[in-house]
Amino acid sequence: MKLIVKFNLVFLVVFLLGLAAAGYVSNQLLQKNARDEIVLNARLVMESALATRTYTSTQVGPLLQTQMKYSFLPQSVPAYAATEVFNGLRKTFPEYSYKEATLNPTNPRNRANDWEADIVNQFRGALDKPEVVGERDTPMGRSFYIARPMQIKAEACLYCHSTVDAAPKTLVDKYGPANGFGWKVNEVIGAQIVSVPTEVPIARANAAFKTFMVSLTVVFAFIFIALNLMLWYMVIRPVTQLSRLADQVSQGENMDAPDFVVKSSDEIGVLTQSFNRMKKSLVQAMKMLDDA
Amino acid sequence: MLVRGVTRYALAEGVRLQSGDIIEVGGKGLAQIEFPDGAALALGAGTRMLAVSMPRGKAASGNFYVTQGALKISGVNRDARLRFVTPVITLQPAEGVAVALVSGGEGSIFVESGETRLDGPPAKGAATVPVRLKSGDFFTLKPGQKGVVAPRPSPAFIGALPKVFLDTLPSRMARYKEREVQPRQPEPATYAEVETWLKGPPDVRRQMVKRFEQRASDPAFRAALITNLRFHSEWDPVLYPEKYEKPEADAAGIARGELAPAAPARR
Repeated sequence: MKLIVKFNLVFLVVFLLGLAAAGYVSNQLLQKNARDEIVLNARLVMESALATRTYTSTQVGPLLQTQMKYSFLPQSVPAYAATEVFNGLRKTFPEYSYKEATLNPTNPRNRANDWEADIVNQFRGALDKPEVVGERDTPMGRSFYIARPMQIKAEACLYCHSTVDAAPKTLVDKYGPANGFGWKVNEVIGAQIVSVPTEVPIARANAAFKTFMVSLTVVFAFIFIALNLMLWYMVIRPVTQLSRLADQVSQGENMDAPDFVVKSSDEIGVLTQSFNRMKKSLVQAMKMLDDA
Repeated sequence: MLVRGVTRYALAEGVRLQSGDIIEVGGKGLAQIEFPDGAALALGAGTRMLAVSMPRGKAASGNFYVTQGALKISGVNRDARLRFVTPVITLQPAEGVAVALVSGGEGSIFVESGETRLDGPPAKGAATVPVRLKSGDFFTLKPGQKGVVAPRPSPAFIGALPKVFLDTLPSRMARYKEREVQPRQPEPATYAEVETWLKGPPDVRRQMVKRFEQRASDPAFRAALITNLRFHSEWDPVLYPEKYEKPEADAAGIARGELAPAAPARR
């Protein structure tokens, strides 16, 4: 088997092993980053919803207290504000969603559907559970969700949600007396659920992985070609020529051929110089034998 | 617009209101009167109000006559003595915040917080005053109907109120505590500018005769008075004093008990 074949076989094995190892590591890393990005996105959405709620309850609500005596303004309700802000965001990112899923909501649009009710009931069954995360299929593609319990922690919340008689009249006018009452302190009445798409970050990770692998393959191919050319010009070709000359000299042919010229001072150059000296010595020895 | 004495001024922020001042708020305007105890009175566009009396003191007090418009009285405490007479009803906020709308013989009052008392004069046919309204009560009195108390204001009432009335009135009094601001652009009040008051209820009309008597020498003012004399006949002696001059002989006769005084001519 020729040297270049051996070399290329070894190179290919190393290349494939390297490509596989790099592919595995990079794929794991990219997928992990994509997952982290999904979770980060979900937490960011959740935190922005919480910030909107806090802003509404501490700053907007007090300003609207007087107007609430004339007509009920849902803009003063933290849940409404958070949902509306998110609805604005959904115009640009329709695959994201935020819902304050409630079992007995004042506003019907907050009523929990089947899978949301399951999450709310998980929280109701385990009051110390801080969070539920998971994935589910949606019409918009696979989605990651993060849910946190909505627990009544302050008596102030019951101002609107204890009984119909105690609630602001304007609220009852707007939403009716049937829903959103009978809440109790420490009761988990719903869950804040944020859903973010998994397909986009995963697709992005896959695209990045493909680009990385193709680039790595191109680099390896370039190295492969460059090494082969170098091996051919620097080793294979001079060694082949030297070998052919040595073969002729060993058979007493072509003894008066000029010295094999190699300008380099590397191992091949040293070998050539050694061979030229050996050839001269052999020629002189042959002449001495002929003279004798 | 502010009418003080017989002069009309342009209202400016910071002007101190006096007894007898007449305020008329323009089409898109808003006026606010603040009292030393923190009480405030906002007047919506189109409101016409006469400060009948405004006794000085720490607590908000005063008698006001409002012919039409929208009022918001806020920050009223127990010591306040405020009284708003309208052609429809008399409003006496006892405490808290009340909003009133008076227009075309109809009156509506919503008590945002606290308590408000309503008194006569009741409209013809109405028989539900006096009424004590508590927080959240909405009272409506329509011409020829009994007053009705509802648990919340009607959408029509809310829609007719100036938007700023739906919020807490902001106080600006601190800016003018140390500054004396004078009303601007003084001009003699024209008949049209005070016509509402010259044609007002009898007790108001009588005050106006004394107040604007000197303006009767103005030809335009005098002409308008004569044209509208049937609405304010108490101006007759001012316009035609000769009719009321008693001949010396008659006067002597009266002194002797021989002649009765002539009845004043009426138009």
